[in-house]
Amino acid sequence: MDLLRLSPNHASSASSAERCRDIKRWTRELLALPDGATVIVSESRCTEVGCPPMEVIVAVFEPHQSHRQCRIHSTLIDVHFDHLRNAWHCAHALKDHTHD
Amino acid sequence: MTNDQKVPITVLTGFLGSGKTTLLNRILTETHGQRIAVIENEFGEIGVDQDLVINAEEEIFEMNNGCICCTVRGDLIRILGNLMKRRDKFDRIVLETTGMANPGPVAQTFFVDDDMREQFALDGIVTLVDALHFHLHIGNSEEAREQIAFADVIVLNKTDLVTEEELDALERRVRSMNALARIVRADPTQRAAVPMNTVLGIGGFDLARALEYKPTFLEPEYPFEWAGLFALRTGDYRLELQDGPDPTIGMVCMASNGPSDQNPLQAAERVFALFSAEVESTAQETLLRPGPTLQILDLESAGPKQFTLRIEEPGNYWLFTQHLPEEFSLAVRDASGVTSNPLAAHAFDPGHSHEDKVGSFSIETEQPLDQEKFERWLSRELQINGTNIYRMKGFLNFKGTDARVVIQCVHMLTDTSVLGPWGDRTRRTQLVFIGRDLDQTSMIEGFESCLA
Repeated sequence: MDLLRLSPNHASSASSAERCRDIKRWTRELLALPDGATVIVSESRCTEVGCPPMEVIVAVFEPHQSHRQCRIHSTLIDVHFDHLRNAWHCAHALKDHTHD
Repeated sequence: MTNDQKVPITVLTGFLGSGKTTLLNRILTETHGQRIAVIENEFGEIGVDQDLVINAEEEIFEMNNGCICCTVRGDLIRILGNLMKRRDKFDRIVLETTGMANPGPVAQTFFVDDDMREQFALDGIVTLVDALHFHLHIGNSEEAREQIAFADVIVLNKTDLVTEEELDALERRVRSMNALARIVRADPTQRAAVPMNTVLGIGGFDLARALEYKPTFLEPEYPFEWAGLFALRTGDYRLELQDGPDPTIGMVCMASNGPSDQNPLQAAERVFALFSAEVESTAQETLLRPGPTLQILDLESAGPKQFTLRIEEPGNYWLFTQHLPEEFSLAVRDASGVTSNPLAAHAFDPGHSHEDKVGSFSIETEQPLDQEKFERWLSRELQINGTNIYRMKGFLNFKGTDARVVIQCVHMLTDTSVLGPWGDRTRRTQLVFIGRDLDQTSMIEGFESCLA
């Protein structure tokens, strides 16, 4: 999710976009996604009860399948490959656990 | 990717039976030289590729535990991904939603991340309104109200089924809910017939064009909704009213400034300040006289109400009323019961509505803003009230910079851009907020704390 970007210079948007592309590439590698899959990456800030103040949500949409997603409690720019790998690992573990 | 290379997307919304599919058929059959890919919620009569049909069951993707500000349409993301594999086959996309769709998640889908922003340009949200059944829909459906609030263009359809006066009243009501939208009346002889350039290529989310169609943007929000000029003779007149939406109605009756004083907008300037007076309400037995004072007529008692207005000098008199006369069945009659009709009348943009929780208001000032304070205030406002703020658009005049900044928000999503220097233009901040249950007073106070 795009955060408030009021500065006319948009100083941080270029580096955010680059990191966003990194996260998508890493996700495709980690999950061995087919070409038809769409990955979205969203940095979100929310004041709803139960929501962390800042998190990055990565979601995968594939034709004829339910979407998958993982969350990283960080700003977009601070997400690294290891964070993402752990987040997808936890997401899958949680899903497996839920199905038990 | 430049704006010209992005795929423009038009979203058609509207309650059941409002004419979305008819308009879609027109878009597909009119000669405009563009190849259109259609995404539909359900199969209609139009032949649509099965891959482009969203199941009737909407797949809502809640990124943050159901907060609407973080909700997008998963089914739409999937379909857009498929569609882009055939990018060379179409020039633009038209998405027809179901009548019950909330436009918020649909709109937010196109802004969810940088890739979506790069590939697609949300050209605009077009909302169809069934002129005959609008009052029924708007009273019963949150989705119908949201569809009005989110719209860039509102097409009043089935105009042949209502009178011209009913259509005027409908337009005023719709305008009070969304001050930013362009309102277009469909041809009464053909359903959903509107010029194609009013629904395609409108640039509703294009910051450079964000404020192109704003018929009421620069009009002040008047504290009254109606003015009429009456020719009255010496004697007593009866102001007759019925039960209406409020227990009181504010009114100013004052003599005109001679025969040339027939312009309601000019007369409104003289009356504007009078409506801010704090006065006691006036009971029915109180005799009213013309003059530059606000009268708050007490309408608490059930059934017909009657006030006496005494005219001591014959001539033309302006009657300004806080609400529209038809809301209270207001009639002006002389002692023998003959109804006086106004020589001239005008309905003003009230900037609010009585029963609709959805509404809009604008803020305008030539005093520059402190950018840091404004960012802090808006950030907090959107975090707290982002769910209720559907859309916001406007220009920002920051102290210490010559940049003319344009801003728009969809819920918590915010985008800004510099349109170049102010140059010879009057440096002025103008913002329009559209939303549900907006606390206008508190928001204006917060905004004023950001003035430099």
